[in-house]
Amino acid sequence: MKREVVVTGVGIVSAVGVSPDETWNALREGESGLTSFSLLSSAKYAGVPTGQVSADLATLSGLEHSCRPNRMALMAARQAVQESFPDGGSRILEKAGVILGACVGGMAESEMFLQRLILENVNDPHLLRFHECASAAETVAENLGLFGPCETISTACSSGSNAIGLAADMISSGERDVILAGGIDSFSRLTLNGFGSLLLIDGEGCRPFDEQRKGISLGEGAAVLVLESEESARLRNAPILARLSGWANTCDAYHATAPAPDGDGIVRAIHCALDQSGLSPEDIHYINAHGTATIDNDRAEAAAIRMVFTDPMPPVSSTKRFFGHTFAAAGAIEAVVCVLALKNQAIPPNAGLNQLDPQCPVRIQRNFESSFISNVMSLSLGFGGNNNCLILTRDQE
Amino acid sequence: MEDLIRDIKRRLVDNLQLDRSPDEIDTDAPLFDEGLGLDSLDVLELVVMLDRDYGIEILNMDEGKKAFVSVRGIAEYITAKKAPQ
Amino acid sequence: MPFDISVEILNIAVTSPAGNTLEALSSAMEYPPLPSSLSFPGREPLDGVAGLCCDLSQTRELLNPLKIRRWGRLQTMCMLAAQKASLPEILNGREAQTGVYVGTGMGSLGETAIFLENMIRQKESFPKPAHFVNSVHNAVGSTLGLEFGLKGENITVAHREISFDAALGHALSALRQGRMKYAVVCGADEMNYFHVLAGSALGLWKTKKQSFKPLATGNSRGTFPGEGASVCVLSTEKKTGQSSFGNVLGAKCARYKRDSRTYIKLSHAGDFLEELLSDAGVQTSEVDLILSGANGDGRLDAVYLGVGAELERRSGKKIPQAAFKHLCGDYRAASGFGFAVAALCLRLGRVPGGLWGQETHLPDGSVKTILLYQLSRSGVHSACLLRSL
Repeated sequence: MKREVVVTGVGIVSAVGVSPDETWNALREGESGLTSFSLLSSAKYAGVPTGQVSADLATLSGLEHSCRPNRMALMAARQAVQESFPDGGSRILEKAGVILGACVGGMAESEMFLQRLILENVNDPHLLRFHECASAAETVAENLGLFGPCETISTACSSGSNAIGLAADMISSGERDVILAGGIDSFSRLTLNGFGSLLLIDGEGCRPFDEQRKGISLGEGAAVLVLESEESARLRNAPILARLSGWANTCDAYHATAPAPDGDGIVRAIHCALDQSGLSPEDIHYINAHGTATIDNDRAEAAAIRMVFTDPMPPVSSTKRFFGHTFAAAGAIEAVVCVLALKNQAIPPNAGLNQLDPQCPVRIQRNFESSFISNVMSLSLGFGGNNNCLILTRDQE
Repeated sequence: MEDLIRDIKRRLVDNLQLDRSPDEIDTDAPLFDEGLGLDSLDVLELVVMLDRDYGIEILNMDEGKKAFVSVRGIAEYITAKKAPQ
Repeated sequence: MPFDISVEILNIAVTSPAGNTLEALSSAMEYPPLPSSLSFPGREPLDGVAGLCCDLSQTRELLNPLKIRRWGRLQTMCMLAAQKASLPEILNGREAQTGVYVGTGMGSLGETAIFLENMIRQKESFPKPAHFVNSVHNAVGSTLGLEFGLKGENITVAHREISFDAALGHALSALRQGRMKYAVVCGADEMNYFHVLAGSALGLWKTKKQSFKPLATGNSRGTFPGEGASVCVLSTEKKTGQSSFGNVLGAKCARYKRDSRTYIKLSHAGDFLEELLSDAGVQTSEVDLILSGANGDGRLDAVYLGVGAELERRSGKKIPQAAFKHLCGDYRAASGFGFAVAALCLRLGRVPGGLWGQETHLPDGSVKTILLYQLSRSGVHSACLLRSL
């Protein structure tokens, strides 16, 4: 018998702020976090609009000898745990798991290893100590005293969303009562140059669904949700911020990077998530799109949404103009945005849009708007046609 | 022109890891779909190849489409771009 | 969790230093290969460093040359194994209900290194986009999905030595809950020059002259680097009329508690393993063999032996322990290879002599339940449980 999964805490660190409140304020005020890239030394990408976190991560995280991803992940996890367990709760937490989506890991330091080796013939393996993307989840688990499952999911841009779905699955099936689930990624010259080599970076800042869009703006960040069985949450009177009522993952099997133009895999993921939640398309009140602002992604995603949802369609917004595309963290950041939307009963805007691309015939949410919303959907689509759909529902009790 | 064509074929094999020798490439066969069977990722590699090996910058995909028709098409594009104005 | 729904191993295949066929692997399980000198084309030689590498010389005969050019080493190894596992014949029309679950600790190191080295040498000019595309950890998962038309779930776990077992756990969950009808589960990591070079500087590797016998007494420090890809097909639907590899009863991973004396707190490890057994309805005393990720480093092997002894103490009987990393070398997702070795043991009905670190005799036909156990120095461990039909 499957158990209900609820969200009892959230935490978020991104270019717009280092807390859920700061994040929501930025969304409400329409304040994009994109700034000129300066974090790493890059000949080609200096000055490109990116979502950098300006806060002093070493001080805020308390991790003196660590890397950006680990620091952000811990900060977000602590916020989520603080909300969920304001009075402690170490006995329950000891059994809790942590599943994070991560792709880049400590690649920024690994690049220094390779650079020193190639250009100076110096072999300094100490620079590789954070290389594996597993490092962030382990940092969270170690610092918070968690001894349940500790995993890292790495499916490119859908990683964080996938991690949340898999964690929900473990709770729903009875394997675990509490899991911290989310995503984390920071910058590296690999991702900047990589996306740049695919001609996917917009030098003027991303404009999701806009007719003139030219691609993504990269970002960094972390978001963590405390997922818990409803039974466990109610037993200890935990705050229930939302219910995770549906999740699904599918593969396009179409192309190594481009999504299937008809959005087939996305459509299947949406239908699977809806089936699981027991909801129909007309029950969805808002869709937070992946909306990276590449030509292919936005069109495929719009095609999929159009295929499932008939008029009047739910409002759609991509929030990537605020955060940048935070890669593995994106799906988790956007899940937190959905939780905040439900909590505040408002829909965040699709910032960066002037003229809607006529080949993206969706109902775009242009402005921040208070609205009665019960069920929201979050889409995250990764390289290789990896499609993830989450459905979050307002808790009625 | 023939030297350039030979050079382009050699570089195509090296850069795109094609499973044939340069001599086996038909100079006039289409690069995409049938012919060599290249795809959208190869287009990006070709853009880099033209920049790095021939000093020709392709600024957008419409320009790319003009150049990347066949091996002869690439050679003619390079020759035209390098001709004194 | 519906643990009573059995999940069968329909087929399994490997690309490994011990061979690329099950026949070769069976033979290697009697007579393990020896580590050999490592050389990387175009690189300075690494003196005294040996390891275990896969033989990919048949790639062009076995795979489509038009596709191979797109794939890095890791993808090639996985596609070779996937082809040998006969996916199209087994899945036959059920591709939409097939999930792909990949465990890889380091992903496509080779492709990442090619992209980065070029980026560094060319000062960010003239990049190599195809290699960037392959550098994402889920490149293998995407390739498997794309090449075999598998449209179900597609998950990649990238978490050190537990990567394969964690991926396996998600596959079992999807199968038991009926979300997927079939699961292709893959564990793979590749040998890479920079990885070996960094490991040398850290003193991770044994020298060429040292023997490679995990769990043997008096083991020296260090191990040998390796690589490999293992692909299995699992289902809750039964295979009829063919010899089986057995059922997967469970997979689990967690963080362990440390202990200053025994490295891992043995009681905590014992509880972890007994939880897996209990969920599967198996008594500790029913475990016939522990197949561990011991890698020939004396300190680490001692920990594995300690955990084994803890289980013995709890079960009240001797539980023999064997190892497999001397057949494939040490790499993150090696437990996928261990899984193949365990499955072959179940099919053979015995544990070939080459797997023992310490001399142990198990009568033929007495191996029915195998517990695989891995741990990572980073603080995580994992296990999975196989049983013959």
